[in-house]
Amino acid sequence: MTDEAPKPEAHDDDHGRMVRLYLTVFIALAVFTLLSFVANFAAADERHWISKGFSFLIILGVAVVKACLVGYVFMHLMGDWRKLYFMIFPAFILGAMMMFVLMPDIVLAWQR
Amino acid sequence: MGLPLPHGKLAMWLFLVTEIMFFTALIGVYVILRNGTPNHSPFHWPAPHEVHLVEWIGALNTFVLICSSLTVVLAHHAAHHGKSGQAMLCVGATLVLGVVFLGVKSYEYWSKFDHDILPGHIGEVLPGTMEPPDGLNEKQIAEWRFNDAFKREQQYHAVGTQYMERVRGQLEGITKGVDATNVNDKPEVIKECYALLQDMTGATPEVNGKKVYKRPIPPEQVGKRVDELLEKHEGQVHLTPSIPFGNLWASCYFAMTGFHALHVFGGIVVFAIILIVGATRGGLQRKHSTMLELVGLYWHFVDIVWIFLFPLLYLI
Repeated sequence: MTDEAPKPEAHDDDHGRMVRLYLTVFIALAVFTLLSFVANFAAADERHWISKGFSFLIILGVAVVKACLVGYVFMHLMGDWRKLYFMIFPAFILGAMMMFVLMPDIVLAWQR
Repeated sequence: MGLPLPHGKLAMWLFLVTEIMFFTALIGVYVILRNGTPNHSPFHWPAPHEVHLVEWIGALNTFVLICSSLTVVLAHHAAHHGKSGQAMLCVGATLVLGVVFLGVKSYEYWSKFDHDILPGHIGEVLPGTMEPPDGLNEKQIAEWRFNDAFKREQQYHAVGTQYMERVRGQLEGITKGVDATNVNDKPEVIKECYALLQDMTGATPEVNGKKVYKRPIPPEQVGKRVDELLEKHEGQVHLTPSIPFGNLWASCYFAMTGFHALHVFGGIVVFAIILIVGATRGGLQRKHSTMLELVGLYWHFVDIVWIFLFPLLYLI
């Protein structure tokens, strides 16, 4: 981050734009949280308005979208992703690989 | 020359990458263990209502953390634009929201302690039997009793025995002073607890003038009777429930949410320090905006972890 003083008009525009963006993302996060809660409510055994599989997809999809919004906007990855992806990406690959490595012995074994 | 990134930001992201691996390991193991449990009746991964997990409380905590993420990013934004008072206010709000999150989490933990839903406490007799499989001759049965399968069944039985001892202690406490002469004067819940205790100890009741030996009920039946008692007399009696895979669930739950809560607490301590720094240095100036950005990165990461923990534990 540089220490150059921004021009006053651009500074105010930028300030207002960023605050609006943060508030928009906050509202989106709140709505998505409500959506996942409603999806779970709708798929409950006593109601079964939607299938459990569909509810699972909504809930997981919403979680991924929320995480991306927080990372992209709040954590400033929209400006810094190209400088940081080489560190972040391998960690997720390791996590996924760990699950795949353990899956045959723990998940699939009892299904045989 | 060099990386187009301030050193502090690089270091913080390196730390967050290690945290990603830490929480991915915890969450990944939870996913694996959950999908590795059999799902045939009556054994299934505990549903939220069976372990006293309330979805709307988890959703409230999610909303609290989302609000705190907004306030911390607004704090950084305000400090960067020289708005010292606003920055201090936002950092204070973030701290308060973090404390609210921990308060709600404490209430949930108290609920688990109150129902004795703790790792190693919950009664469960997992799939398995003390009887040899069908179709074996006498010699094969004798061999089976000395091989590994028998030792595993003994272990299952030992787990059930530990649970029975725990429940026996709880029932003895509930039915203190109650005996055959005064049990009929007691409330319904005490009568049922007394009856269960008698059935567990293999009493010798008199039938037609003769003492008849009544064999103690096995752990599976103890668990079933305890669950019926708890369902019928919710809140009136404190007994450890019997929940298949309940101990595994409790271990995962407390490991994941416990480590997450520790991280939240760490963030709260840092925000308190920032407030002290701001109060003693004439507010949070523009020069503090980098510090706020880095602490904000950590806080947003804590928020992201909860964004995944909430659906995995409470919803799916």
